[in-house]
Amino acid sequence: MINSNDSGAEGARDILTLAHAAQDAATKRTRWFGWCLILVGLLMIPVTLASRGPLLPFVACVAVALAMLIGIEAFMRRRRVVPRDSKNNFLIAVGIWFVLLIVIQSLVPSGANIWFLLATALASTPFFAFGVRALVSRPRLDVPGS
Amino acid sequence: MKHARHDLDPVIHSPVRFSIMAVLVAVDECEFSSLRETVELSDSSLSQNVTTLERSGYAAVSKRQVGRRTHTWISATPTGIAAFARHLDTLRAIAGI
Repeated sequence: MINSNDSGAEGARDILTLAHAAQDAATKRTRWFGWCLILVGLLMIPVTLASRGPLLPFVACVAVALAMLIGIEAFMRRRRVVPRDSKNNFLIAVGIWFVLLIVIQSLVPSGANIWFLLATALASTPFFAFGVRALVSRPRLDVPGS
Repeated sequence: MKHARHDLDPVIHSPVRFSIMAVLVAVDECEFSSLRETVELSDSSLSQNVTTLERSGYAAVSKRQVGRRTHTWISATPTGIAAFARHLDTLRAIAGI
Protein backbone atom coordinates (compact mmCIF):
# COMPACT_ATOMS: atom_id res chain seq x y z
CA MET A 1 0.00 0.00 0.00
CA ILE A 2 1.36 3.40 -0.91
CA ASN A 3 1.45 6.05 1.78
CA SER A 4 0.47 9.36 0.15
CA ASN A 5 2.71 11.28 2.61
CA ASP A 6 5.79 9.22 1.90
CA SER A 7 8.19 11.44 0.01
CA GLY A 8 11.16 9.14 0.40
CA ALA A 9 12.88 7.54 -2.58
CA GLU A 10 10.98 4.28 -2.23
CA GLY A 11 7.61 6.06 -1.93
CA ALA A 12 8.40 8.22 -4.96
CA ARG A 13 9.31 5.13 -7.00
CA ASP A 14 6.08 3.42 -5.94
CA ILE A 15 3.98 6.43 -6.99
CA LEU A 16 5.79 6.61 -10.35
CA THR A 17 5.26 2.88 -10.92
CA LEU A 18 1.57 3.19 -10.11
CA ALA A 19 1.14 6.18 -12.44
CA HIS A 20 3.09 4.40 -15.18
CA ALA A 21 0.76 1.39 -14.95
CA ALA A 22 -2.30 3.66 -15.19
CA GLN A 23 -0.84 5.48 -18.20
CA ASP A 24 0.08 2.20 -19.86
CA ALA A 25 -3.52 0.97 -19.46
CA ALA A 26 -4.84 4.27 -20.87
CA THR A 27 -2.49 4.07 -23.86
CA LYS A 28 -3.74 0.54 -24.65
CA ARG A 29 -7.30 1.91 -24.75
CA THR A 30 -6.27 4.39 -27.45
CA ARG A 31 -5.02 1.76 -29.92
CA TRP A 32 -8.30 1.99 -31.86
CA PHE A 33 -7.13 5.34 -33.25
CA GLY A 34 -4.16 3.79 -35.05
CA TRP A 35 -6.30 1.07 -36.65
CA CYS A 36 -8.93 3.69 -37.53
CA LEU A 37 -6.34 5.83 -39.39
CA ILE A 38 -4.96 2.80 -41.25
CA LEU A 39 -8.51 1.90 -42.31
CA VAL A 40 -9.11 5.49 -43.49
CA GLY A 41 -5.89 5.34 -45.52
CA LEU A 42 -7.03 2.11 -47.17
CA LEU A 43 -10.51 3.52 -47.88
CA MET A 44 -9.00 6.64 -49.46
CA ILE A 45 -7.16 4.58 -52.10
CA PRO A 46 -10.29 3.44 -54.05
CA VAL A 47 -11.85 6.89 -53.60
CA THR A 48 -8.76 8.56 -55.06
CA LEU A 49 -8.55 5.99 -57.86
CA ALA A 50 -12.22 6.58 -58.72
CA SER A 51 -11.47 10.27 -59.26
CA ARG A 52 -9.74 9.26 -62.53
CA GLY A 53 -12.41 6.79 -63.60
CA PRO A 54 -15.41 7.34 -65.84
CA LEU A 55 -17.99 6.72 -63.07
CA LEU A 56 -17.45 9.71 -60.82
CA PRO A 57 -16.10 13.19 -61.54
CA PHE A 58 -13.27 14.54 -59.37
CA VAL A 59 -15.55 16.86 -57.37
CA ALA A 60 -17.93 13.96 -56.54
CA CYS A 61 -14.98 11.87 -55.29
CA VAL A 62 -13.81 14.69 -53.05
CA ALA A 63 -17.39 15.04 -51.73
CA VAL A 64 -17.54 11.29 -51.00
CA ALA A 65 -14.17 11.45 -49.25
CA LEU A 66 -15.20 14.46 -47.16
CA ALA A 67 -18.52 12.84 -46.19
CA MET A 68 -16.56 9.75 -45.12
CA LEU A 69 -14.09 11.83 -43.10
CA ILE A 70 -16.90 13.74 -41.35
CA GLY A 71 -18.50 10.39 -40.43
CA ILE A 72 -15.19 9.13 -39.04
CA GLU A 73 -14.70 12.34 -37.05
CA ALA A 74 -18.18 11.85 -35.54
CA PHE A 75 -17.24 8.24 -34.69
CA MET A 76 -14.04 9.48 -32.98
CA ARG A 77 -16.02 11.93 -30.85
CA ARG A 78 -18.08 9.06 -29.46
CA ARG A 79 -15.10 6.96 -28.37
CA ARG A 80 -14.51 6.68 -24.62
CA VAL A 81 -10.79 7.48 -24.75
CA VAL A 82 -9.39 9.90 -27.28
CA PRO A 83 -5.59 9.84 -27.64
CA ARG A 84 -3.62 13.05 -27.26
CA ASP A 85 -3.33 15.15 -30.44
CA SER A 86 -5.58 12.71 -32.32
CA LYS A 87 -7.80 15.44 -33.78
CA ASN A 88 -4.77 17.47 -34.92
CA ASN A 89 -3.10 14.39 -36.42
CA PHE A 90 -6.29 13.42 -38.22
CA LEU A 91 -6.74 16.92 -39.67
CA ILE A 92 -3.06 17.10 -40.71
CA ALA A 93 -3.37 13.72 -42.47
CA VAL A 94 -6.54 14.86 -44.28
CA GLY A 95 -4.86 18.13 -45.29
CA ILE A 96 -1.75 16.38 -46.66
CA TRP A 97 -3.94 13.81 -48.47
CA PHE A 98 -5.97 16.59 -50.10
CA VAL A 99 -2.88 18.56 -51.21
CA LEU A 100 -1.30 15.37 -52.61
CA LEU A 101 -4.56 14.54 -54.38
CA ILE A 102 -4.52 17.92 -56.15
CA VAL A 103 -0.81 17.53 -57.03
CA ILE A 104 -1.36 13.98 -58.34
CA GLN A 105 -4.31 15.06 -60.47
CA SER A 106 -2.24 17.75 -62.14
CA LEU A 107 1.14 15.98 -62.38
CA VAL A 108 0.33 12.36 -63.30
CA PRO A 109 -0.81 12.21 -66.94
CA SER A 110 -4.03 10.43 -67.75
CA GLY A 111 -3.40 6.89 -69.00
CA ALA A 112 -0.39 6.41 -66.71
CA ASN A 113 -2.34 3.92 -64.59
CA ILE A 114 0.53 2.33 -62.69
CA TRP A 115 1.96 5.73 -61.73
CA PHE A 116 -1.49 6.92 -60.70
CA LEU A 117 -1.91 3.83 -58.52
CA LEU A 118 1.47 4.43 -56.85
CA ALA A 119 0.72 8.13 -56.40
CA THR A 120 -2.66 7.23 -54.87
CA ALA A 121 -1.00 4.92 -52.36
CA LEU A 122 1.52 7.72 -51.63
CA ALA A 123 -1.36 10.14 -50.94
CA SER A 124 -2.64 7.77 -48.24
CA THR A 125 0.73 7.55 -46.46
CA PRO A 126 -0.07 10.34 -43.93
CA PHE A 127 -2.92 8.18 -42.61
CA PHE A 128 -0.66 5.13 -42.45
CA ALA A 129 2.19 7.09 -40.82
CA PHE A 130 0.02 8.62 -38.08
CA GLY A 131 -1.77 5.28 -37.65
CA VAL A 132 1.42 3.29 -37.14
CA ARG A 133 2.76 6.00 -34.80
CA ALA A 134 -0.42 5.73 -32.70
CA LEU A 135 -0.09 1.94 -32.57
CA VAL A 136 3.54 1.91 -31.44
CA SER A 137 3.41 4.93 -29.10
CA ARG A 138 4.49 4.25 -25.53
CA PRO A 139 3.49 6.04 -22.30
CA ARG A 140 5.42 9.22 -21.52
CA LEU A 141 6.30 8.09 -18.02
CA ASP A 142 9.42 6.05 -18.19
CA VAL A 143 9.99 4.33 -14.89
CA PRO A 144 12.86 1.84 -14.86
CA GLY A 145 11.98 -1.54 -13.46
CA SER A 146 8.23 -1.09 -13.91
CA MET B 1 19.99 23.23 0.15
CA LYS B 2 16.19 22.77 -0.07
CA HIS B 3 15.00 19.17 -0.28
CA ALA B 4 13.12 18.28 -3.47
CA ARG B 5 10.06 17.21 -1.44
CA HIS B 6 9.25 20.90 -0.83
CA ASP B 7 8.53 21.20 -4.57
CA LEU B 8 5.88 18.47 -4.50
CA ASP B 9 2.45 19.67 -5.56
CA PRO B 10 0.01 18.99 -2.68
CA VAL B 11 -2.92 18.57 -5.08
CA ILE B 12 -1.39 15.76 -7.10
CA HIS B 13 0.89 14.29 -4.45
CA SER B 14 -1.89 11.85 -3.68
CA PRO B 15 -1.02 8.67 -5.65
CA VAL B 16 -4.63 8.43 -6.83
CA ARG B 17 -4.74 11.96 -8.23
CA PHE B 18 -1.25 11.56 -9.68
CA SER B 19 -2.43 8.40 -11.47
CA ILE B 20 -5.54 10.21 -12.75
CA MET B 21 -3.34 13.01 -14.08
CA ALA B 22 -0.95 10.44 -15.63
CA VAL B 23 -3.88 9.06 -17.61
CA LEU B 24 -5.22 12.50 -18.56
CA VAL B 25 -1.88 13.81 -19.87
CA ALA B 26 -1.68 10.78 -22.20
CA VAL B 27 -5.07 11.42 -23.80
CA ASP B 28 -7.05 14.34 -25.20
CA GLU B 29 -10.05 13.35 -23.12
CA CYS B 30 -11.33 10.31 -21.29
CA GLU B 31 -14.89 9.28 -20.53
CA PHE B 32 -15.68 8.96 -16.80
CA SER B 33 -16.35 5.18 -16.75
CA SER B 34 -13.23 4.47 -18.80
CA LEU B 35 -11.12 6.56 -16.42
CA ARG B 36 -12.73 4.74 -13.47
CA GLU B 37 -11.78 1.34 -14.95
CA THR B 38 -8.26 2.49 -15.80
CA VAL B 39 -7.40 3.82 -12.32
CA GLU B 40 -9.55 1.19 -10.57
CA LEU B 41 -11.62 3.48 -8.37
CA SER B 42 -15.25 3.62 -7.30
CA ASP B 43 -17.57 6.19 -8.89
CA SER B 44 -17.70 8.32 -5.75
CA SER B 45 -13.95 8.26 -5.14
CA LEU B 46 -13.18 9.18 -8.74
CA SER B 47 -15.81 11.90 -8.66
CA GLN B 48 -14.29 13.43 -5.50
CA ASN B 49 -10.78 13.34 -6.89
CA VAL B 50 -11.82 14.77 -10.25
CA THR B 51 -13.67 17.59 -8.43
CA THR B 52 -10.47 18.39 -6.49
CA LEU B 53 -8.48 18.46 -9.73
CA GLU B 54 -11.13 20.59 -11.42
CA ARG B 55 -11.21 23.11 -8.52
CA SER B 56 -7.42 23.41 -8.73
CA GLY B 57 -7.67 24.11 -12.46
CA TYR B 58 -5.82 20.89 -13.35
CA ALA B 59 -8.71 19.10 -15.08
CA ALA B 60 -11.72 20.14 -17.12
CA VAL B 61 -15.03 18.32 -17.12
CA SER B 62 -17.52 18.42 -19.97
CA LYS B 63 -20.79 16.62 -20.57
CA ARG B 64 -21.97 15.45 -23.99
CA GLN B 65 -25.02 13.62 -25.21
CA VAL B 66 -24.31 10.21 -26.78
CA GLY B 67 -27.57 8.69 -27.96
CA ARG B 68 -30.05 9.14 -25.13
CA ARG B 69 -27.46 9.28 -22.38
CA THR B 70 -25.27 12.09 -21.15
CA HIS B 71 -21.64 11.12 -20.71
CA THR B 72 -18.94 12.95 -18.78
CA TRP B 73 -15.55 13.54 -20.36
CA ILE B 74 -12.50 14.62 -18.39
CA SER B 75 -9.38 16.23 -19.79
CA ALA B 76 -6.18 17.77 -18.40
CA THR B 77 -5.84 21.54 -18.67
CA PRO B 78 -2.53 23.18 -19.73
CA THR B 79 -2.06 24.21 -16.06
CA GLY B 80 -2.60 20.58 -15.04
CA ILE B 81 -0.15 19.27 -17.63
CA ALA B 82 2.52 21.75 -16.46
CA ALA B 83 1.88 20.85 -12.79
CA PHE B 84 2.09 17.15 -13.62
CA ALA B 85 5.41 17.64 -15.45
CA ARG B 86 6.87 19.60 -12.50
CA HIS B 87 5.65 17.01 -10.00
CA LEU B 88 7.01 14.20 -12.13
CA ASP B 89 10.44 15.87 -12.25
CA THR B 90 10.39 16.30 -8.48
CA LEU B 91 9.40 12.67 -7.89
CA ARG B 92 12.16 11.52 -10.25
CA ALA B 93 14.67 13.69 -8.38
CA ILE B 94 13.56 12.17 -5.06
CA ALA B 95 13.59 8.64 -6.49
CA GLY B 96 17.03 9.25 -7.99
CA ILE B 97 15.89 8.26 -11.47
